[in-house]
Amino acid sequence: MMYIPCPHCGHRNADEFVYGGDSDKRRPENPEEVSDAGWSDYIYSVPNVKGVAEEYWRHKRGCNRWFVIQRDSRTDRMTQCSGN
Amino acid sequence: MSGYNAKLDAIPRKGMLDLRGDAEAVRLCGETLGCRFPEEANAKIAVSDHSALICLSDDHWIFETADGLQVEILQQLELAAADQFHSFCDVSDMYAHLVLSGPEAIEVLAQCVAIDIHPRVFGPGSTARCAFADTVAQVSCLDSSPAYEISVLSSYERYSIDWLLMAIGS
Amino acid sequence: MTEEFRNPSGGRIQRGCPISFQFNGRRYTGFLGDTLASALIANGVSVVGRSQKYHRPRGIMSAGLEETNAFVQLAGNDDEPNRLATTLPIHDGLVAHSVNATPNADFDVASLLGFFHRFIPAGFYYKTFMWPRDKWDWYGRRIRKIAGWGTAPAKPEGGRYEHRNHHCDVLVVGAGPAGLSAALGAGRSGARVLLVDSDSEAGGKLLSDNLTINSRPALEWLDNTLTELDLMPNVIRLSRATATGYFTDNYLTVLEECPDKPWVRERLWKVRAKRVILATGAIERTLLFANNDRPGIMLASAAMTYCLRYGTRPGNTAVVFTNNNSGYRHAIGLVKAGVAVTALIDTRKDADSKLRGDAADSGIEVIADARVISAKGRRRVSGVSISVGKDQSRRRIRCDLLAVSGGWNPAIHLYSQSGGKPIYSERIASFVPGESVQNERSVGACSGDLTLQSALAQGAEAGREASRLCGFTGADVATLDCEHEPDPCVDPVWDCSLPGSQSSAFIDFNNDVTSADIRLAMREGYRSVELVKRYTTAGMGIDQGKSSSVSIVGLIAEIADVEPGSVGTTTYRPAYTPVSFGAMAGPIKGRLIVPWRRTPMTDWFLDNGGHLDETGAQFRRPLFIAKANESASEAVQREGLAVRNQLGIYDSTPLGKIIIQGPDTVAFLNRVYSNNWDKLPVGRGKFGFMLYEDGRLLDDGVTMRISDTQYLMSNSAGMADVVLDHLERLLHIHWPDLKVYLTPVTDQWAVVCVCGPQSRRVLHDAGIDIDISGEAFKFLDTRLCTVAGLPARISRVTYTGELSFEVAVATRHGLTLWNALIAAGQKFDITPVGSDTSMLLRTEKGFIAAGLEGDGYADIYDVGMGWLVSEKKADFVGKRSLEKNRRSGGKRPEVVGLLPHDRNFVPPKGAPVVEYGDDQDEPRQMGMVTIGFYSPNLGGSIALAQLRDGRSCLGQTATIFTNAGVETASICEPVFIDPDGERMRG
Repeated sequence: MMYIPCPHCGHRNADEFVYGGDSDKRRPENPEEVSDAGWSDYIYSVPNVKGVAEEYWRHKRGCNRWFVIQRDSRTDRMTQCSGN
Repeated sequence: MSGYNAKLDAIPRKGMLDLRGDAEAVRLCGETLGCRFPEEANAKIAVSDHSALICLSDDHWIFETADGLQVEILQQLELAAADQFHSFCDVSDMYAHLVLSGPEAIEVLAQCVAIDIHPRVFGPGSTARCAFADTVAQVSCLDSSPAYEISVLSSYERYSIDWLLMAIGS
Repeated sequence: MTEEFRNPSGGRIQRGCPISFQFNGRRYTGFLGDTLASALIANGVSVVGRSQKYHRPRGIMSAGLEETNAFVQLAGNDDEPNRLATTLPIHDGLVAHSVNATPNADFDVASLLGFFHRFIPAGFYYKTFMWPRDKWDWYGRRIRKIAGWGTAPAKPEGGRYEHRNHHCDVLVVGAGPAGLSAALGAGRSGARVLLVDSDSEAGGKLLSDNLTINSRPALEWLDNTLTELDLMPNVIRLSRATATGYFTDNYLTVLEECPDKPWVRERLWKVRAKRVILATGAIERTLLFANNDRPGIMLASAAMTYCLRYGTRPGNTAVVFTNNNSGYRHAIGLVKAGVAVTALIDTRKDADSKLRGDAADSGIEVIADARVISAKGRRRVSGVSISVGKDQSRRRIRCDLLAVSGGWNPAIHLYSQSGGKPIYSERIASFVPGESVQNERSVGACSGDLTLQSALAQGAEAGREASRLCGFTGADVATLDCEHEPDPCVDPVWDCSLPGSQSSAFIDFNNDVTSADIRLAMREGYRSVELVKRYTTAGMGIDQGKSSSVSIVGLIAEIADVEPGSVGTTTYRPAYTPVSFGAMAGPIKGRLIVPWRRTPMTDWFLDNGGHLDETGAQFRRPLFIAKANESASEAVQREGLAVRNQLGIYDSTPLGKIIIQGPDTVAFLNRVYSNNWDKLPVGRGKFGFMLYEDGRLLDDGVTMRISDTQYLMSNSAGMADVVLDHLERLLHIHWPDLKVYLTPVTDQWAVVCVCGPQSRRVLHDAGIDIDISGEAFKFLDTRLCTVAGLPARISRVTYTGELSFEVAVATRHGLTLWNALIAAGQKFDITPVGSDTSMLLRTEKGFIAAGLEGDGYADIYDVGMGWLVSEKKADFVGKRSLEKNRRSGGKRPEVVGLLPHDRNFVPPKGAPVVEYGDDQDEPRQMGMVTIGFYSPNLGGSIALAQLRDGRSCLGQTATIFTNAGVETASICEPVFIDPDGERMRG
């Protein structure tokens, strides 16, 4: 079971966390200016990198904060990125 | 059937405040309480001999005191932080508190939580908010008998008691 | 009856404690410390079971977890299938049977299959039993009866299972010489060590050999080491504890059978270790020749174990067959234990001369450059036929025990599970661990170094290193001297059987897979190790190929004429040994499987006829509160009438409540709700709808402004956690600059709702200190007050469409408030109301439910809530998708009401609604029923539905399909009572 490094609480078991998707996924500032195709892409498509991805995790059964982690999808090795 | 040498007690409500605020709000609150708010998550400091402050994350604290005393403190803190970005709530009824104690309390607690509770790293004064059974709890080490305090949401109180009694095995 | 094959002395059994047990209906005796296998050997029992496919008689093949034949069914209180006789300690009253044998192992009817074995090779079921196709079921049942392994227990398990979470600095797997050295090195430094071993006694191979350490018997070192380890408070040592899986980030599971507490049947440790040291040893493998599976043929190291550890003789006259140097050690050891070893067959031409000399000194005839090509005997081996030298001259030698040493396979299973890739070592003709992927290290035999000297040295070094890496000062462990052990010099002989007899040379005993099967698979084009495994089932039995997997790879390599390293291994998966379902489930049973959240009123409902069930967010709430002898529908109908005519009382505590505060609160509300929140005065609430980003309805509810700076948001009970997650995500990820704090306070407040024409009066009678008349306290107002002497907040919100007041008090006062209102309401026949009734009442009013009418297809306009969408706002969560979806055109699924023509027909939820086109026989689906009820307040049935272009069909007739037939209904506005909402605003 992954041992996830929460920037506030330290390492905890993965079942204390909720995954939040790739950190690239930022809500566009002005959705009304985004095309239909661009909007669909924002809602539905997922990068799915084979390698290191930056992603959001939330420490739901803990400090309850969101933070960003780097995870290598080949090995599940995680390294801290930044606290939000 | 037999069971671990440990017992479970429910203890009365505490006066509790859920405190959230930015740096300036927190500084002003610290002045009012006469302490510095701890900055490390899962750090617990005594504010007086019956009050304590637990840091949950970089802008979230829980203040504990005797039941009833929190009302006035809440007013004082609201006054101090009035112009700052903050949110203070009385959550005294939101939590139920249980105490697990006895020579084999660790063997019981190890069934319910997955954090490291070895006395070397989780001795008296330590606290952590972590997964507890299928819910979440604030777990604190009270003394080295050993005794642990487990605080859960009120709606999970009976579930938590049932779980702990099952883990004790009586 | 007597233990014919028990030596008068020797072994680690306790001869002062005799034990009686039963096997296959006969009584035997053994001693405390015996396994079932060693006791059976002592009693001269050679046939212990029948093989899976051919039902050939089988005997005990090994002395450990790698056993492939001796599976037994335990009877009586221990009722359990497929226990290994080789690891099962005997106790008084043990009753065991062979599995897979009818009527018994000695005479098995199904062994007649053996005569047909040419017709049932590997994969036969892919090619046979195909015709006639409709008979497959019949074939299947017959095959199932012949196949299969043991019987499932009939009684429910009564034992208690436990899960223990454990952290340590160093986890050492295996308490043989390497593991013990490692634990010593790490333990002396003060690190927290967990040492686990699957055997009942620590010592590993030291228990089955006569090795020396510093010129003293190794068993002395063993005793001293265990004494020292057991005195260290920082070391926990477990026996009969098998590490079953190695997972991500040094997380391992250890199954402890027979834990320290007598009331715990098994304990599953979930271990998080900073460093792991694998000292899992090596498993001996057998060799291939015709009839190599006969009872009395066993691994040479196992024969040694039965002699030295259990004080038995697995036979009186033995032949040893080997392709490596350890065969010599075993042969000499057997002689010392009183077994006459007449010959040692060595496949190699140039064996070590010192070893040959030692063997000769023990009276053993060494026959080099020779192979056993077949074994004789059926219920017990009676001799071997060998082929010698280049000219392959034949000889026969008698024996009642054939001890085979085919080489050693390092136990690399856990290493592989950790993510590592094994590599082939020509030196030992087996696979060894490659590079470490996690913080682990393999030491001793499992790393490929088979000597005691290297086990001790590597273990000590690894223990020191691991504790150093955990921040402790490495402690000293003295260097130890052991007698010289020669290199194994393994001759990679993968098949000694001759063409023509390969179909009785077994490579996987457990699944009855032979050399011929492997060759067949490869001829048919299944040439990769994964395909060979799956086609033949080799390595897929209960033993998971512990002793056969490398032989399979070697044979494939030989047939394909490639290096075994390029064939590779299949993926090793957890669990290393079978784990009981009880251990996996742990202590969670019954009520504890899903958390049951309660309110202060839960007990009152349980005591007063409430029927509770899960209603979302882990709360269990009453669906209705039945009087004596009332059915569910009677209760709901009664409650529904009471609310609209008199007075109902409802526990609203589970609804989600969130305090929202901060300078940007209004901006935040505007972003997450579809409507506008700019001008909400203090003391007022507003109804709003939230959408998901993709346009679907998320949740509706009332948010109140309770002070200048504070808002209180309310969510439906089932969606409370989802909404909170959604909002926190938006704030922390997408809008970190918004100054808003969210504080969930659902558990802080108990909320009681009184609804119906008498709700004002009951509050007066219970005691309220503010003016709640219609003029002073309007619909959606909220105020602090005192109710029944308790500090409270009262709000006018409704979910039923009636005059309705929600009273919130601190949780500790919840039951007091409830009881006070129940008492005050007696004169109005106050009726407790459940969730099912709530659903009826909202249907009568056409209040839509996100998730029912508002499912993934119908959007906020379709459900008739378009008036909540602010035209002024450029953006809110869901708006962009809402527009995009509408723009794509097509007919919309709009919410309408249905009034069935048969007023007693209740349209079932989900029933299709159709229309007939010009061709009366071709109905087209227009939509579906979302909810239907018999309405007591209307005296007839009603329903809500989603229909394509529904609003333009008002007044028309809809046809509803059900299992019982077809019904018609009028399509009408989706509101059946008080369409202008006068009652709730009164």
